[in-house]
Amino acid sequence: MAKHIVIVEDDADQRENYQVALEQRGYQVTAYASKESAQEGLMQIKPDLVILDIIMQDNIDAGFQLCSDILKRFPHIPVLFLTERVEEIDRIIGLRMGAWDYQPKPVSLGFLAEKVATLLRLSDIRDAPAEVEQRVREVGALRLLEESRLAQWNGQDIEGLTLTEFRMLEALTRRPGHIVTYDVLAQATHQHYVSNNTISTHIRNIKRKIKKLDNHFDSIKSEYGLGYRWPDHS
Amino acid sequence: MNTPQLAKQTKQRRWRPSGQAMLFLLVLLSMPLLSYRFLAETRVFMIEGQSQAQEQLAQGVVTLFQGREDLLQELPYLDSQQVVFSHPLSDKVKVDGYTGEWLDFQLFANHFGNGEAEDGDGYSLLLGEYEDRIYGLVRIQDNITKLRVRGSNQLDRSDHLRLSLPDRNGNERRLIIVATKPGNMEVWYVKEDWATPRYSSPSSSFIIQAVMRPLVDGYLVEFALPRYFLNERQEFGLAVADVDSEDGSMRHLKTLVSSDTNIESHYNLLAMRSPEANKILASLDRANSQIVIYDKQLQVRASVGKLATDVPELGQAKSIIEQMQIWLNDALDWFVAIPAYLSTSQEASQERQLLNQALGLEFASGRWHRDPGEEVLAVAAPITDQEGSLLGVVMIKQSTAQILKLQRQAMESITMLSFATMVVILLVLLAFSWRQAYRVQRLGREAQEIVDPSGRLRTNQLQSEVRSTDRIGGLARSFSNVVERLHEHQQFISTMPRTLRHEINNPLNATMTSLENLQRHGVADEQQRYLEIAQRGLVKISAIVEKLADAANLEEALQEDELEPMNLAYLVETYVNHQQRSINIEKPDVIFACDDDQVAVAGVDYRIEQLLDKLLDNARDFRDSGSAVVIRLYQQDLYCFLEVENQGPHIPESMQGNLFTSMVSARQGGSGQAHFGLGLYVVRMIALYHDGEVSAHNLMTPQGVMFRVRLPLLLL
Repeated sequence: MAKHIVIVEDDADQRENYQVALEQRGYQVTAYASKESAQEGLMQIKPDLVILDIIMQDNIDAGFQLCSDILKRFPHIPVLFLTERVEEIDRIIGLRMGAWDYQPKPVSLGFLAEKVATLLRLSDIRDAPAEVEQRVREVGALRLLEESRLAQWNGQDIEGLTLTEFRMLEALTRRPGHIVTYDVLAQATHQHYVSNNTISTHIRNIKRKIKKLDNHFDSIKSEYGLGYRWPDHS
Repeated sequence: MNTPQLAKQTKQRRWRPSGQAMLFLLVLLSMPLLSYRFLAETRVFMIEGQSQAQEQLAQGVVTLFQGREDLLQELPYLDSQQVVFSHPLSDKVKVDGYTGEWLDFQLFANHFGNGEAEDGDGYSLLLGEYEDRIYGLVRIQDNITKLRVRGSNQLDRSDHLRLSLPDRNGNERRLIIVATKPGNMEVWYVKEDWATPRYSSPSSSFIIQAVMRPLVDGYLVEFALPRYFLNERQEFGLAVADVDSEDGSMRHLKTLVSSDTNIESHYNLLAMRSPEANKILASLDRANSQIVIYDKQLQVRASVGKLATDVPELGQAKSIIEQMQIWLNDALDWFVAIPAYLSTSQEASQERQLLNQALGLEFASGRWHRDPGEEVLAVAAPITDQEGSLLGVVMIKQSTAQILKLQRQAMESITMLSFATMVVILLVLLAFSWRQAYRVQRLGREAQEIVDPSGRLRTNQLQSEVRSTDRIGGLARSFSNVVERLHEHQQFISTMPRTLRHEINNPLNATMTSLENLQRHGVADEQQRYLEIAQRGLVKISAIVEKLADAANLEEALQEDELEPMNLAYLVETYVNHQQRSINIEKPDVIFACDDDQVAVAGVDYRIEQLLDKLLDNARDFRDSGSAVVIRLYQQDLYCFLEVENQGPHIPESMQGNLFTSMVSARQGGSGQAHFGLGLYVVRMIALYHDGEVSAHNLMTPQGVMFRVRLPLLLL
C-alpha cells in the first residue's frame, strides 16, 4: 500500500511540482494550500508523513502552528519543514517542536524524494525495530546505525542530530585520515548551493552535540581552506 | 506645514534670541538709571522744600525778635567798658598761628592803634568761641620783634601780651604770654609788677595754649583758654607790650580797646552771645543749619547750630571693601555734585552781601556751593522794632549735606542693589549657560555614542533632552526623528537581503522544481542542453541569494560562536598550503611569511578561515597577472598583524572611506562573477568580533595594495 504524504504549501506551482514528483515515485499525495484547509483535511486522514511550508499567506508562523497541531494528534508522524526561512533560529525552533528534519529552499526534487524515503524508512524502523536489519559502521568510538540514521558516541545516542548532520558525519568518517573537501560535504546537505561557511556551521553543531557526551571530543580536524578530516586512529 | 509658514516661523525664530537679550539688557540697565533719575528729582524737590521752610523759619525768627530791643541793643557796662565780640566758630580751632579757621570773621576784626602809618603800631583782635574754649587771634604790627631770652627773671624785657582775668571772687589773675622763639609761647602767672613770675615755670600749655608766628610787618599770636577762666561778667583785660630796646626799657604798652595804658584798672567786656537770645534760638536748633542774630553793627548776638556736615571724612581705607566704598562715593559725588563751588572768602562775601541787603530792610536769600558735595541755602531777614526801625538781622544758613547724604546713601543702596542684582543675574546666566552647554554636550556625546565603530546606529532614538520643552529639546527631538528614520533605513538595508532571499527562494524553488519535472518527463537531446543551462543559472542565482543572506546574518551568527585559544600561525600556514592543493597549480600563487611557530589568539577558526577566504579572493581579483599574493603574519607588542598583499592597482581615494562598508565594491563589471561588495564587509565584521581592526594601504614600490588585520594576542 502506497505511503500517504500530505503537502501543505501555499504556492500553487511548488505544491504541484512536489505533488507530481512524489506521485511519480509511487506515493499517495494530498496537497493543501493553507493552514486552515490542512487542519480541516487532517481531521479526516492520518498521513504517513507531512511536508510543511512555514510562511503561508500572511501568517509567517503558519507552518509552526500546524506542526504543533499535527504532533498533538499524531506524536510519531515524521514532519519535514520545507521552507524559505533558513535562519539558524528557525531551524532550531522547528526541530525542537518535533520535526524530523528541516530542509531549506530551493531544494532538488530528487533530494526531496530521497529525504522523504529516508524519513519513511526511519519511521518504519522506529515503529518495528526488530524487523529491520541494521547496517552498522563503527569508526573508533563513533557508531553509525545507517538504517535508522542514528549515531552513537561511546555507546550513547548523539541527541538532536539532524539528517543533514548525520549525512555529513557519514561522509566525514567514510575514509578516516583523509581530507573531506567542502564540496563533498556540500553534497550531504542536499541543497543546490551551500557555502563553506554553512558547512562549517553544520560541523560546529555536530562537534557541540558530541561534546555534550564527551567534553574531550577532538576527532573532527579542520583542514583550513580545504575541508575537514576524521583522524584515523586505527 | 507649507513653505511660507515655515519661512515665517524661521524668520521669527531668527530675531527672537537677540530681541530677548536686548530687552533683558534694557531692563537691566534702566533699573539704576531710573532710580538715579528718581533720586535727582527727589533731591531737587527736597531742596526746594528746604528753601521754603528756611524762609518760613526766617520769618518766624524775625517775628520772635520783633521789637526786642532789649536783646539786640542793651548791653551791660557799655558806658565804662569796651565790648569785644566773640564769634561762634563752626569747628575747633587748631592753635598753630595760621588763620584758616578765622577767614569767615576777618571782616569783623577789631582794629586798634595806627596801622596805616609806615612805622605803624596797629594791631587787631579776633575772638571766637567753640564749646568750652575761647580762642583769640592777635595780629600785631611791629618793626622790631624782640623775643624773650631764656633764663631772665624779668618777663617784661621782650614783646609780650598781658592778660588780666578777674576770677569769680574778684581777685585778679595776671598772665604774660611771651615767645622765646616762633612757635609755642610761654604763659606765665606774674606778680603785681607785670614782670616777676609768680611761679618758677610757665603754665601748662594744656590749659592755655599760645602760638606766635612772625609776619613781614610784625607777628601774630593765636591763643586758646578755657571759658571758665572768665568770671560771670565775662570781663578780661588784654594789652600788648611792644619792647624794642635791648635792655627792655623802651616799652610801649598798648591796650586793645583804648590808649589807656592802665590795664590794671581797666577790663574789657567779652561780649558773648546773648544768653536770652540763645535761649530763644535753642528751640530752633536743627541739624546742618545755623541761625545767627546780628545787631545793627553786624556783631553776632546769638547763634545756634552749625553748618558742619555729618558726612564722615573718608580717610585712608583699611580694607578692600572700604577702598571700594571710597571709589564708589567718589563716583557718586562726581555723578550727583555740581562742580562749581565757592571758596571760603567768596562765601563770606556772599554772606556779607545778604547781610547788607537785610540791613537795608530787605529780605534776601542766596544759594551757593561750599564744596562739591554740599550746597548752602542762606536767608537774611531784617529785625525791626515797632516803628519799623532796624534792630538787627537774622541769617539762617542751611546745608543740603543731609539731603545729599541721604541721596548718596540711597545711591549707594541702589548701586549695591543693582550690583548685587547684576551679580545674581550674572550667576544665574552663568549657571544657565553652563547647564545649556552641559545639555548640548550630553546631547553631542549621545549622538556620538549612538553610532558604533562600524558606523551603524545602535538605537533608533535619543534619550537625552527629548522631553525638554525648550529649543534644545526641539533640536533633540528633531535629531531623534532623523535617527529614527535612519535606523528604519538601516533596518531596511540590513533585512533586505533576508527579505530578498525569502521572496526569491519561492519562485526560484518553483522554477527549479519545474525544470526538474520537465527533465523527468523527458526532453529532446537538443533541448536538454538548454535545460541544463537554465538549471546552472538558477544555481548561480541561488548562490547569490545565499551569499547576501549570509552577510546579512553574519552579526547574529557571530554571536553563536565562541572564542577559543588557537594558533594563528598554524591556521594560516595550513590554509596557504591547502590553497596550492585546492586550485591545483604548479607555481604557488600565495606566499606565506611568518617567523613565529606560535601566534596565540582567541578566535573562531572557521571565521578566521572565512576572513582569509575573502581577503585572498580580493587580492587574487586585483593582483597583476602572474604575481603572487603575499600573506604575512607577525607579532608586535600586544598584537599580531595579518597582512595580505598583492601587486596591482591602488585603491581609488574615493573608495578608501567606505571600502569596508556593506554593498560597496571597487570591482568593474564584466568579471563574470557576481560581486556585491560584501567580502571586505565580512572581513571587518569578523575582525571586530575578535576585538581587532582592519585597514587598507596603497603600496608604492612595487605598486600594490595591502590589507592589514590587527588582532590582540592571547596572553598566556
